[in-house]
Amino acid sequence: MLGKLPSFDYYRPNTLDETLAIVERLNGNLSILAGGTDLLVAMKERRGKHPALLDIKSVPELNAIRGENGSVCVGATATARAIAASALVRERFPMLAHALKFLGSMQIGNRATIGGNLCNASPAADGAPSLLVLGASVKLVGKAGMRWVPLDNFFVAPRKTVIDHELLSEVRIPAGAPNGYGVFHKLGTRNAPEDICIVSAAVYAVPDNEKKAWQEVRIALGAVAPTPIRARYAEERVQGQPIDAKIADEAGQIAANKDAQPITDIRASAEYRRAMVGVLVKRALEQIARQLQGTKHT
Amino acid sequence: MSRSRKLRVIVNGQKVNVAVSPSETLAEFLRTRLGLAGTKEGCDTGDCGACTVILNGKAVNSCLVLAVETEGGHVTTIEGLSSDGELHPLQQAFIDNGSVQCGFCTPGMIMGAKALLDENPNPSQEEIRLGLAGNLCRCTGYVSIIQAVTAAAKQLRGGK
Amino acid sequence: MGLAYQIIGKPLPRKDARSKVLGQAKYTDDFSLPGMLFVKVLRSPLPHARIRSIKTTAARRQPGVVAVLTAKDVPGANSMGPIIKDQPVLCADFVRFAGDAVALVAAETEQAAEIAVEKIEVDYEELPAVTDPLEALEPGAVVAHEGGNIGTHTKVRRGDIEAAFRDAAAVVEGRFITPRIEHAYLEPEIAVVAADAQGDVTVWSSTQHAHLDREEVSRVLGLPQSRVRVYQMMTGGGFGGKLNPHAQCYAALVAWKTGRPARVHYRRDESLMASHKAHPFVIDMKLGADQNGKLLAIDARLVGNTGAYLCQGRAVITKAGTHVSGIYYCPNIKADAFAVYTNTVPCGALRGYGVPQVTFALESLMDELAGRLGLDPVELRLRNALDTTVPNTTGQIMPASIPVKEMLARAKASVQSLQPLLNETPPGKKRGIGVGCSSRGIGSIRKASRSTAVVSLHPDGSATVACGSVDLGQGSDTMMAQVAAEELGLDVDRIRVVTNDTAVSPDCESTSASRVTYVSGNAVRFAAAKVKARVLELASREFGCSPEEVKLKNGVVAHREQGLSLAALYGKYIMHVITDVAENLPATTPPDPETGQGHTAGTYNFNIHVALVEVDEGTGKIETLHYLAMGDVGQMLNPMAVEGQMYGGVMMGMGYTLSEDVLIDKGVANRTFGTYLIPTMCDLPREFLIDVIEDPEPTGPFGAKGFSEGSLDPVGATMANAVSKAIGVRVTRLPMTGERVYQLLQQRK
Repeated sequence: MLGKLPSFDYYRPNTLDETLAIVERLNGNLSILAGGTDLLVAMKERRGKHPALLDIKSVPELNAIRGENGSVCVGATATARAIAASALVRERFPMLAHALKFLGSMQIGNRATIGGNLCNASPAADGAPSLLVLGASVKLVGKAGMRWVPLDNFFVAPRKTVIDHELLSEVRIPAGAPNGYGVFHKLGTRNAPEDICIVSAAVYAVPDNEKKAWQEVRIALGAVAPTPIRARYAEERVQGQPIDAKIADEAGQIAANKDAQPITDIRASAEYRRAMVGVLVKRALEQIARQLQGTKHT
Repeated sequence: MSRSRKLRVIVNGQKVNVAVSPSETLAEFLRTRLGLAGTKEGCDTGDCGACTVILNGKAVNSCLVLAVETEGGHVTTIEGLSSDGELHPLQQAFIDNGSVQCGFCTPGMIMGAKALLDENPNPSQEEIRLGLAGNLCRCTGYVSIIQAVTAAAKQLRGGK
Repeated sequence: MGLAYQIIGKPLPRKDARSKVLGQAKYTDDFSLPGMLFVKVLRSPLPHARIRSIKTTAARRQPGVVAVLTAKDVPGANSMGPIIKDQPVLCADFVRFAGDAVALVAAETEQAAEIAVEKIEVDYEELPAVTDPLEALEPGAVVAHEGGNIGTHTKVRRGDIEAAFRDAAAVVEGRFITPRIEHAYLEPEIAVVAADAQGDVTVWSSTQHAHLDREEVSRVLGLPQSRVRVYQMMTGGGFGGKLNPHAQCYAALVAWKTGRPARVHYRRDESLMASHKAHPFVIDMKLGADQNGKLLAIDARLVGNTGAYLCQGRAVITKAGTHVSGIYYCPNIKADAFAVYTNTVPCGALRGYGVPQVTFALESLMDELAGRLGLDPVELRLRNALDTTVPNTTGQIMPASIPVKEMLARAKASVQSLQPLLNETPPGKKRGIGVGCSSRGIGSIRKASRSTAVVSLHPDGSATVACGSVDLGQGSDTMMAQVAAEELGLDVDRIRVVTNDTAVSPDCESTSASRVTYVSGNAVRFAAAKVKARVLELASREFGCSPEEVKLKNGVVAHREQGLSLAALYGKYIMHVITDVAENLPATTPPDPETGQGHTAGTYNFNIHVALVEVDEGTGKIETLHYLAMGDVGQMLNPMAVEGQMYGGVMMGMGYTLSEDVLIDKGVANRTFGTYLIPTMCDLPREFLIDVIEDPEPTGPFGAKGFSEGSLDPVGATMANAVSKAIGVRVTRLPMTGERVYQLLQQRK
């Protein structure tokens, strides 16, 4: 039952070093407070134990959105809306900007952070599919030091990641191919951005020089497996294949039947989810194909 | 009981300096601590927008913000919109367009609209809908609300 | 129409709009009383169980806890309900749905109450439960409610349907299923109650019927009603859901036992899982018609799942059953409507009250019939439409204000104007146009309800109206001011309307059934007219003329060049005020228990909608490209209020049509607004029009009739007809989620 927030200790450090010191001192008995849009709901619903909250929003280096050579580095506490509005992100990774624009309502988007979205590790996390196909990595910092983990290896199970007494401080998205193109589709019950997706699909594709075949295709799916996943069977099938409707359809079918492991829940049945994977992946590839015939990515 | 913390924040232009419990949400703080009951609580989970206030220039669901998180910042609530008894164009437009029925969604809706117009003074109909998608209304069917926001936006732009 | 009203017919912002946009309007959570206790309710997690024991010691010992109450602490009647009082305030022996209230905890803080409520130990003996109403009707089914699972059986009998079906050239039938719906008012349930040293009780609540709050609280406490006073606070929506004063009863118990003020405030999840819902229906219906499309027979069985308690179930089922022929004349009808008990959350009043459900079934079959006979769907409807010469379902032939044919003609024109858009369907989509029509008797179906209004005209030319129909935000207070202003020749802002205080405003029964304008508005008008008559009579003595020759305007009586202020007039006759009271009881009769026939409503409100939808063949998702809602209101008293109700009703209707469904898994499964999805601004039709028809109702105030539920009634039917046309498969179940439509599309292959 929903209730008032329970009691907890509240910390708000100003530097990364202070933050890590608290993480170490509390030895795992803490919850990171970034946007709070998932955490505070969990606490009101009495899900999990949260004896201490560590508010990381006052650490400036965790908030930055900056370019580094061709890549973009996004701090963990950058909000969904701030990232979606960033000129840098919109120019280099319009798919990501689009996905985060529709992560939730305006109010949620002004608070929800990319770090929180990834660390919360919902199978339906709206930020994950785009970042997966863009080849993103996350920087985890802790007492032992720092490590980069490719996002492909970051999710373990529903609401569980590889984080081990660490803090996710940054997401790095490497420069894409100059003629690469990305599309993100989310299917919800209503038409509202705040709808938790029934299925989502991100496709990032690079055509060959003649734009006749797919040189490289990456496909990621949300809400159809215990974690956000890459649809590797579908990717394998499409690599090097002609850019046409038949291949797009096949990619969809394989993603649906071999990659996706959907369940039935309050929003939809497994069968419908599986079918929608097919539809969304196919449409994403067709959309990219259409764009390739026109100008560069818009 | 959480240890209380000193909180300094500017609310509707006024400096506030009080001790609060970390477990207090911004919505609770505004309503019960400061007596600003205009901000409403409709769902507790950030799904309805009735508790929308503007924090550091951005619309947020105050039921999902801790009061202590506003330290050093500034908050505007519905009570801070009118000045000297004169209604903000949004407030007047809501009255003139019949956009208020039971009124429970109204403060959050107006604050959401204010934040939207602050960022985007000339929003399209689509942008208004997307911007206020997180503000639920069960009474009006939204049409008069969109009309009011459109009218207020035009007035704020000087009638263009 | 055509009459020169001063105030009636003018768009008027409602009186309380300013306080609402300023955030100053006072809802029940916006104040607190010194020493106020916070109350939490312990509810059963099981759908059906016997209570062996309740141990409250651990809970009582929790810091901050002041009282823990169970059934034995109820001093008066341990039962509540707006009509049938069969729901326990606190369960003593049995719990009948997951959510049934078992105990109350009152504490100094909300946190303390939340912690303590979990310390109450209840020993349940779980019993088998039944959730499906058809299963509950089977012989040998689990008994969900004492006395058997049928709560009510409404019958409509006219003519001989067997013979009629034999003669029919076309017969169509189907089973139609509608969802369980939540009101989803933005303000959840809340009440504050305080008892004073004299033992008088005051209630402040979010409510649709302050006098019912008074009745229930007094019954539960075992007090005479004269000792209880209720103030309706600003109420954040009702839609039928705030006709069940449970929070009021719980708070009253605590206030009475502890001597301290008590607040009960449901959080959203408690509201979603425990408050009454709209009845889900399973409707089996069969229509028979001749080769020209004239309806010969309707046979219908309507099963409404009323949940654990009957509450308003009898009335909802009766309403549905007595609207089975909708806007049509049908000479032979057999309808059986049942309220069936199951171990699920109880169902009661929700805007629509059975009519949207039966309309969905009837209108879908009318389209089937049109298809079978090769007739245009609107033409078929025209051939069967009610007018002032033929009887409706309950046998009423209404003498006026039946603009059905005119509305159908407009629908026809709208459909024609939309046809070209069917040719512009993009690849991968399917488009279809649908029409849906509904009829609604205004007012309560089973028993008449009387409204009483008191009007006082003050010497300074201002007035007070006291009338107990509360405003939920739909603008009825403003309507009453308009009516009184028009009658008394005053400006609207010189009228004070008091509807929210049981000590001042006479009981007019509930704000429900679209009845406030028609019944209470007229009571206000009659009372104002009586006051005016007395003023004119006094003035006529002063001026030496007949009362008809006197004009009353802006607090001045005048005859030719003579004029006198009310203050002067009153002064002469030692009147400090002129006050009068009037009642209004529409001349109706309840439906006959065997035939369903009777003069069951004083007037009927018709709604005809047209929709153009586009269905995504891949995902099954529906987009509404164009929606036209036509509503017959008799006379628009306030165009702004009419528009508000119409757009609002359609969008609420889009909810049960596309995305809303209260799901049961032991108890209610969707308990937040993240899993119970009501329409947002992004779900509006692309083009959305309303059209108001004014065909005055002679028995209504200035020709007005009720219409607040009407705009919701045909939405499901209209959209389902449009989608069925688009995909070539009949939709028989709402809501039409993407998944459901996708499954229908698969069927097509």
